[in-house]
Amino acid sequence: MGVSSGQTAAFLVLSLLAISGAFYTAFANKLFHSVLALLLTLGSIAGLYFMMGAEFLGVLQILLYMGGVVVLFVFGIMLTPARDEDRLPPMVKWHMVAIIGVGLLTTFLVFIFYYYTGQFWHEIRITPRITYDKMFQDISALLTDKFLVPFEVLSVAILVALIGALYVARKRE
Amino acid sequence: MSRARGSNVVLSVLLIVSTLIFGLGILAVVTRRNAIGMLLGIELMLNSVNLNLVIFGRFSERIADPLEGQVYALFIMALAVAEAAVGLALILALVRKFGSVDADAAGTLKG
Amino acid sequence: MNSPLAVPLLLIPLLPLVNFIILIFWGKAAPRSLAILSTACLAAATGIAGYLFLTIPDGPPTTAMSADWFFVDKQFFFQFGIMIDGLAATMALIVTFVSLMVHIYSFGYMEKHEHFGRFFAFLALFTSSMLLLVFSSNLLTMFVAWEGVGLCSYFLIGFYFEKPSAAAAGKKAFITTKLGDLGFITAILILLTIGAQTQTFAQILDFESLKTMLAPRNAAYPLLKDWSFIVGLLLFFAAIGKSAQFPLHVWLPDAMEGPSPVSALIHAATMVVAGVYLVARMFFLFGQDPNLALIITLVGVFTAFMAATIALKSYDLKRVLAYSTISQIGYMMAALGLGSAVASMFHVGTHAFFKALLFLAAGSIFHAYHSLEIRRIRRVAKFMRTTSITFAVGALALAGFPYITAGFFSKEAVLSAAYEKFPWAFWVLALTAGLTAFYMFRLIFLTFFNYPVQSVPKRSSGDDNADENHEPHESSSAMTMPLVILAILSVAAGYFGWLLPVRIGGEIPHGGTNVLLTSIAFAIGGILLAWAIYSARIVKAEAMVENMPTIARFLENKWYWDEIYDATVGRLFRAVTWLVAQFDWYIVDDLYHLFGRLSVRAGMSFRQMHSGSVQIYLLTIAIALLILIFMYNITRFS
Repeated sequence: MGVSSGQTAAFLVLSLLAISGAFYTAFANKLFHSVLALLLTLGSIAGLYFMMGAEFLGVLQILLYMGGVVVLFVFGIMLTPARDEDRLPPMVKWHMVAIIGVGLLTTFLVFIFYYYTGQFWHEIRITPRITYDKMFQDISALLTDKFLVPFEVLSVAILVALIGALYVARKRE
Repeated sequence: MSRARGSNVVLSVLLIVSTLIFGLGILAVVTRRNAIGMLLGIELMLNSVNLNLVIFGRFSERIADPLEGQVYALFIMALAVAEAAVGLALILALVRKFGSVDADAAGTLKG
Repeated sequence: MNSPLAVPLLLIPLLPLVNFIILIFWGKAAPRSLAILSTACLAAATGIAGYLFLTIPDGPPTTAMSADWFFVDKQFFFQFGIMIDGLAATMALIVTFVSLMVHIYSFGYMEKHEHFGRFFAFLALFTSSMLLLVFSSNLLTMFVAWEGVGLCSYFLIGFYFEKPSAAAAGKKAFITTKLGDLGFITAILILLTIGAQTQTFAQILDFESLKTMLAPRNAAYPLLKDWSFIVGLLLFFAAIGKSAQFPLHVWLPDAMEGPSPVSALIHAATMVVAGVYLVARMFFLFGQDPNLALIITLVGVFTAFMAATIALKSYDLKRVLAYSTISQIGYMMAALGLGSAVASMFHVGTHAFFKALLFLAAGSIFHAYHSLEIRRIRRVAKFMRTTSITFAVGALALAGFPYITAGFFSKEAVLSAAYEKFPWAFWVLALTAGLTAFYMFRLIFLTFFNYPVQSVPKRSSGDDNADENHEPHESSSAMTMPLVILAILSVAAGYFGWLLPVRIGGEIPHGGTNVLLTSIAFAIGGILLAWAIYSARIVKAEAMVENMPTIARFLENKWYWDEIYDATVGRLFRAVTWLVAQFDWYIVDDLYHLFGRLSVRAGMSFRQMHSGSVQIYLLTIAIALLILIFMYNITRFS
């Protein structure tokens, strides 16, 4: 198979990173590793956003999710007696099962792919055909025009969440 | 079934990716005993939803402006962050009451 | 199709029926007054029956009433019909009269019983059913009444229901006769099938129509003629059950658990002759087929002989009378088989009177001595004058004492019919007559005087629980009056025998001097033999028993019929019920336990949905979402 464009390669890499990150988030034994894996996933998704022309959102993803939520989680882990769990038994048998399972799943997916498209390979082009040169302005226009009400409600909701979180987590005398 | 067209294939593949992330998020929530682990799963799910929205914003023919998908995802992102904050606050309160982060420890409902 | 006779005719069975309903509901409140009312109504019914007997025109029956009862499939109609003819009128008069005597007697016999009202209620219901049976114009109505009398018999036999032996006897009677009833119903079903096929459905069960259809010169109903043997056999089987003939005779001796008035009414005079009546009604069918007639004769003769031999060695007063009844009904059946309905009905009538008399007198003795064990009862002649005299008259009638008793005339008629047709039947029946005389006078000599007995048994099951120290005395007039009346009739009824051929048709057979002399010889011979053994002690009874121990034991155990039935039919039934019980316990019960367990399991699994675990909730939501998506898109996966 010949690589026809870098887009396909980039897309593949980013997707695989995202999926394996998600997998590891779910099944890591140590909690901190899960958080780091989540970080990886979030980053990959941000990459995908950039590829699809949603740069604004990609930036927000990095700032808010990777810089905010993940930090929150780290704080949470440090402040609570969170223990690590045994997610998957570290037996050789299970690794074999996992590998065989993944192999089967991949074969199955490839087969489905072939059945529906008639080929094993397909070019993936996800970059937008139009360029956004006034992205910020357009988004602002949307926020204040079409999506004004949700925007205001969102600010109220964030305020409520803020107060609520403070109240719930306050120190008891 | 008819042979898929080019853009359909790309769309399908992207959607498969986001679905996988969503499924893994559910798995994380359902199988983890740790409350913080469950929140991680929830974040995964929300992210996959955002991805979905952006995908449809990019590929859909009905929506005039792909930016609308982004704005929608923006709202969700904001709420997700807020929810993560509140969730962690709740976990702190839980820890104070039940002494542990295990989801099973907080079970006073008989049944 | 109503005739002017309908009203008086209907009144006869209706009066007792109404009395039954009154007594059942209000019997506890005023038992004596209501019982008097019931008896008065019965007297009125007897009067009507007597009037009808005297005025009914001879010849074919008049259908008094015929009503459409129910139908099947909108085309097959079933009729309910009553009619009257000479035969029915005769029978009705006998039934009402004996019932009246029993009613009067019961005032004295059941006086202290707490269920006085219930007793009279059932007596009334029985009388009503029996009269309906007599007046039925088709097989279906008769079957309904047939079952009705069977039911009343069950109620009355098991009247002392607290006594387990009485309850068991009631069951035994009901089940044994029910076996015969199977024959009845099968016969009806066969007839209905034939009727449906030959478009004669409406008349196939009617007696008169059957008579015309089966007439010898009528060639229009070949299918019916082909089946008439089977139908007749089945109906005869039903008659065997109801009339306690071999092989279904086993219930009648046990039925003596019931009160003596019940035995007198039901098991001597009326219900047990229902079978004879059925055969007489269908005489056109039985008389035509020589095979059927032979079967009937054989059964009757054998039963008569067998029962008489068992009576020889019975030690219970009422049981001797019960076996005697079985034996005498054998005579009646044999008479029918031998072709003379008149002789049979003559014997039915005389037997009704003297057998009822004997049972009522036995009840009187039981009332005084509180026991029916022959070896315990002593000196009845000394303590109870009226009872002993009337009992003796009844015994003479049963034995057929020449010329002064009614039994002599009717028995002679039966013997004559046998002499004309089958000599072997004649000799067996004559010998049985001798045995009859013998065992009756054995009874008399043992109980009326002071015959010393070697082994007096301890209390037997038939004994009353009252204290036995007080001296026996004669019974009240309510009890003795019917005895006297019936005794008079036992003598007089023979002279009115000429009425019967006029009413029923046919002639009283007379076999000539041979028959006359033979019957006289056997009757007197039997009495003399009993006197020789039991009174004068010329031959010792104990010595005879010692010399023939096997026969003695065989007779004493009633020819072992109960044991045989238990070992064969009883065992088969128990095996079948065991099988069914296994099926019930292990399959049906387990199946329904299974449903219970399934519900519990399902509940337990559903319970997990409410366990309070957030994760379970989320999983459930996810699964539900998947299912919804699948269902939403299912049309695309084609």
